[in-house]
Amino acid sequence: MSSLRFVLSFMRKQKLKYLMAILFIIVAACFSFTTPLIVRFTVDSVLGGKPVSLPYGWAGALNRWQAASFVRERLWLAALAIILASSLGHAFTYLRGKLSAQVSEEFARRLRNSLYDHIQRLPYVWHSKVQTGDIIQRCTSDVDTVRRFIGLQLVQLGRGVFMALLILPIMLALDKRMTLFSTFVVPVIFAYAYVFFRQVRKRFQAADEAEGYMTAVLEESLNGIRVVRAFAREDFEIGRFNGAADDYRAKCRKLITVLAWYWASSDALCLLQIAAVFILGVGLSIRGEISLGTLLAFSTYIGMLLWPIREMGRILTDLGRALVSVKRLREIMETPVEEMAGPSRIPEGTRLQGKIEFQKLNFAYDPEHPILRDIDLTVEAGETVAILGATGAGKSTLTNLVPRLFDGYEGRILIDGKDLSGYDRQELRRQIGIVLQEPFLYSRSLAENIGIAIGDCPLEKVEKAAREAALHDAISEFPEGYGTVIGERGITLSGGQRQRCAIARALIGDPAILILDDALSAVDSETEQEIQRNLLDRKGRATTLIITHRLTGVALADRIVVLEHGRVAQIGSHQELISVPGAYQRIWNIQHQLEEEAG
Amino acid sequence: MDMHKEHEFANKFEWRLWLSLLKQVLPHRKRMLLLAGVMVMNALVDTLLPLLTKYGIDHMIIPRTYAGIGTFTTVYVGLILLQFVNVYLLIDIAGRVETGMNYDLRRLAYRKLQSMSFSYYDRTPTGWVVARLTSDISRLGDIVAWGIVDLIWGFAFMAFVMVVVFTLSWKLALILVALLPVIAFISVRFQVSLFSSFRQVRRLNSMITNSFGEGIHGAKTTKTLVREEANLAEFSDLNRNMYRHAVKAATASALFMPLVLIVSSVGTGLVVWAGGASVLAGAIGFGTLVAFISYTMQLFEPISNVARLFAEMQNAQAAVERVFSLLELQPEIVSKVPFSEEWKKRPMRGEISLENVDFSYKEGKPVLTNFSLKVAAGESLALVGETGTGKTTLVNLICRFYEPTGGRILIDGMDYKEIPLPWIHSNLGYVQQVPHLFQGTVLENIRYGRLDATDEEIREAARLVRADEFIQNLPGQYDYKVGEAGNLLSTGQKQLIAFARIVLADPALLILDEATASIDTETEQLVQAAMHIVLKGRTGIIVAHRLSTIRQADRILLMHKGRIVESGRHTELMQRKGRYYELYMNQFMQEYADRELQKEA
Repeated sequence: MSSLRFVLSFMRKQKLKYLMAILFIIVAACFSFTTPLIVRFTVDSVLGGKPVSLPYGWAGALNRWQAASFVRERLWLAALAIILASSLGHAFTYLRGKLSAQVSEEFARRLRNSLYDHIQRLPYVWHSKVQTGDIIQRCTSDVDTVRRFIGLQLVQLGRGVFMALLILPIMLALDKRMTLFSTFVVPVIFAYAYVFFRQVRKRFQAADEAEGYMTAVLEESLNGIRVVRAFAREDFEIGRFNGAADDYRAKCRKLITVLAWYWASSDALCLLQIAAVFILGVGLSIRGEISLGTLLAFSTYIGMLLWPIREMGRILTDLGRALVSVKRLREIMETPVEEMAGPSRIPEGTRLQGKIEFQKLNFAYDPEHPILRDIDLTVEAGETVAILGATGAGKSTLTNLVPRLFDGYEGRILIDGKDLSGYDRQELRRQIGIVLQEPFLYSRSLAENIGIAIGDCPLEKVEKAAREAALHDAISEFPEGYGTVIGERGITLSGGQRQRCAIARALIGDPAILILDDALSAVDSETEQEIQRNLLDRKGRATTLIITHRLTGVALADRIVVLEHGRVAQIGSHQELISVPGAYQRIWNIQHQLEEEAG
Repeated sequence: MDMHKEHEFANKFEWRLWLSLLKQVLPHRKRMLLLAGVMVMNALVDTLLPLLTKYGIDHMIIPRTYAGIGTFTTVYVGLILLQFVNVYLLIDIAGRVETGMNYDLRRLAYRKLQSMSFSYYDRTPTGWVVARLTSDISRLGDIVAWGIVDLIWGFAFMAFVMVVVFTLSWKLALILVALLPVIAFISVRFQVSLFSSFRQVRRLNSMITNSFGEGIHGAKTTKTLVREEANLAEFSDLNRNMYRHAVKAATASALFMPLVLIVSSVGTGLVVWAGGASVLAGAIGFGTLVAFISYTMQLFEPISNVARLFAEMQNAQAAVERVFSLLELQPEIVSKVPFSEEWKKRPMRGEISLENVDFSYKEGKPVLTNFSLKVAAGESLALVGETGTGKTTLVNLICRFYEPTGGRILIDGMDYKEIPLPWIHSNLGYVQQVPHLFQGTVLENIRYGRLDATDEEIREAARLVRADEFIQNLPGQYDYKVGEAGNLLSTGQKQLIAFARIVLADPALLILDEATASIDTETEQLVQAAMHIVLKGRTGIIVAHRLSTIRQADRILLMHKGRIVESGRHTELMQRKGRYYELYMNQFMQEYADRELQKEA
């Protein structure tokens, strides 16, 4: 039921439209029942000369007005009535289709917007844990599954139900025996379709899996083409792929064979029902118990009843699939988002000083494995601190706490003397320029990427930042310069270029705090030196935390912090640290030694 | 790259491609003939059923006689059973043709892919190729098999109905004939425009998928840049656009069937009018009238099916083009010399010589010019230098993954263009930075080096490079499944397996691309030792990143912008205090620093 509530929450103010759509189904159904009655009237009374017999007392009036003989003189009236009834019926069918398309597409639109919004606001930790492919799949194909269910399948189900409900009283009024005889296959065909499609689902899955495997083999051999070539294993790979493709073909064939059996047998079942009704009707007509027109009407009505009912059985098996999709979507939407607001406001236009204090800081994702332990560190406003440490020492965790990418630490972090947890996340992040280890660039132009943090950025500013990040020359070489689109739709940048682009992006907003998380790892040493010179020029402008594991990276730093297993092992300036025994000194000595070795 | 992107919209309809596609049906022609026969039978039964109704009315109900009801019932049931067989066969056979054609096309395309040169793979994203071999080919098989079904049934049914109605009453038949062009016109117009609007919807849909992808992949960065609202605003614009187009397409599609059915009902009305008059005049019986009514109601089906087929073909034009562009590819590197028995037995010494080699990936942007180098058999050579200086290109050329644009390359003193390509590759070992493993077990992956190796030989190879130690600790040991691309193993473990593979293959020439990523110290030592073992007795060319590797090499080549700037042994180069010294101090200190910091931990 909560699934239903979830779905309905995206249909606010759309329910009326949906109800209208249902109403139109009913109206269209009513009109479609009229045509056989007109034919019956024409055949029996107009052409056959029998008195009009219609259920529920309608016949009296028609007989009184001698409608039959009136129409007999003007047969075009019958034609007109048929065309009119059919046109009206189909017009309502069209309107129903239009409305249900609007409702279901609007549903999908709202759901997609909500998902997008919600996902962006989910915490950093969630994004680190999930598999992006799976989430994208949910946002696209699961949304589509639910949309189709609402827009098409549910409507078809409704149509089937209303058809059955509305047609029965008419059939009963025409002839009870014929009605009974016409409907005995209905539950059978419904159950047959339902059971069949539930059973055959396994075969669908098997075919899907075989296709998946074939695709995987294909991808793998294309990605590993160098290995294939180097070992001259082309024939082996061809054999492997053929095997996978053959298996897929076999699975598809099996599926098609059972489907062929189903469609053939259910068709035959329906046709037999129609034949049986006709033959019985012939018998009853000969005995004069029903009229020819009634027989014809029944023949048409069975068709109207049987085919939609057969579809219903199939659609009901899809209900399960739609419910699974709803469940998967709810999992995303029901994950709590980051609380953005905080009492400490940073008014627009002001700039933080940038003093950062870590006091008795402890952090762990799970209590067994602490990441940060008892960190006490004060970084003065404008100071540059290099953080050195092995993989897993907690460097990134420490710096990611500053822009409040995640919480849940023990101890205190103060910025400009105020508790970090009091800051509004977004306002705080606007004060911080951070270059993540694996920077993400948007699939748009270089200029837009660099200026993205500040809306409507003038090109001079972009260029200045690009120069500082030593990226300007590289950009100038592109034929479209700063207008060059990168990513999916454009060119691919090298790892070093991506990092430099991210640096430019972080510098452009003149942040109070600058965090470079191993931001130069893919940049070659000459460029690195150039960037460092540029950063030196603006030293003191921002409090800067540089994570590095190269000694060259510490050249800029006022102080160096060596992190080991989440603890601060050493703090001090370069001069201080080389005179104290420890990791830093050892590294320095080796370097020194090598230099001497070389003479 | 551009040709692989959104190359969705081919405008011109090319019969040539469709004809070559139809040729793919030839191997299935017997089935196709049978299918055609079944379709004609099917259409015949569909035509006969209303005639049965007519017979029942005119010969039993009207004269009020039971005479012949037994035969009537038998014929009716017989036709239904015949139709049962027809429907079963039609789906089954068409399915066989469809899957068979897909299979053939896939095999052809894949074989072609295996013959393509590396330059093709460098230009072409894997995803593009995969989409051609999966969804595009499926689509073609679907259109051809089911399209032929629709076509034969449509024309047969139409022909049968025409014969019947003209025999029954040519005057009433004219009403049906008059309806045909109207239905055809509506069908063609609608199907074509529907397909193009649904294509637009699909395009928007893939944009939405991309947008979600960007939103999700970039979520962390978005947070740091406080871009949430701006991103959402852009996304909802796109989303609104999608809504508009989707509703438009769905509305248009909702209009199609009602419109066609209204036209059919006009036919029914006219038949009732004119036919009714004929009945009153005694020219035709009730049965004939009823049969006409049901024919008018069914006539739209063959027409709209055929219209849909043409719309589908038009829409799939781009898919046909893409698939055939793949099938008609020509490999750039062709081995002229056949790989004869004699060549198969001939061992390689592993002496390599590059003479004045020029090479460029793109015209006008030379990577190597007038490049010369001699490597003696059994020598190990370390290539160092920053990224983009031509180390990988050099390796690609030596492996003959590419051929030089000028100059020549000799292996064992012979120009390698005069040598069969398979001979080179079967004497070549190649270990990538992150070795590529295939889904499957450890055993299967090592066996890739020599397919006829016994399990014991494989274990022996693994022991030799000391991969055995970690393999013994895996659940299932040699039967451990390494996962997609071997991702259940660490980089170091993958390298050890790649080395074991090399030991089995026993090549004369070994190309090694060393990992830049840090590997834990213990595995690192194993990898170093293993590398030493596999290099023994072979010519080795190593794109080197690690100190110990470089130090062990017989010769170091420092490359810069496509040239060798320094060459010699480690100590010689260090003493020269040139570029190598600088690179060494800058880049390789990192390794030391890492190790020292790790030591403390």
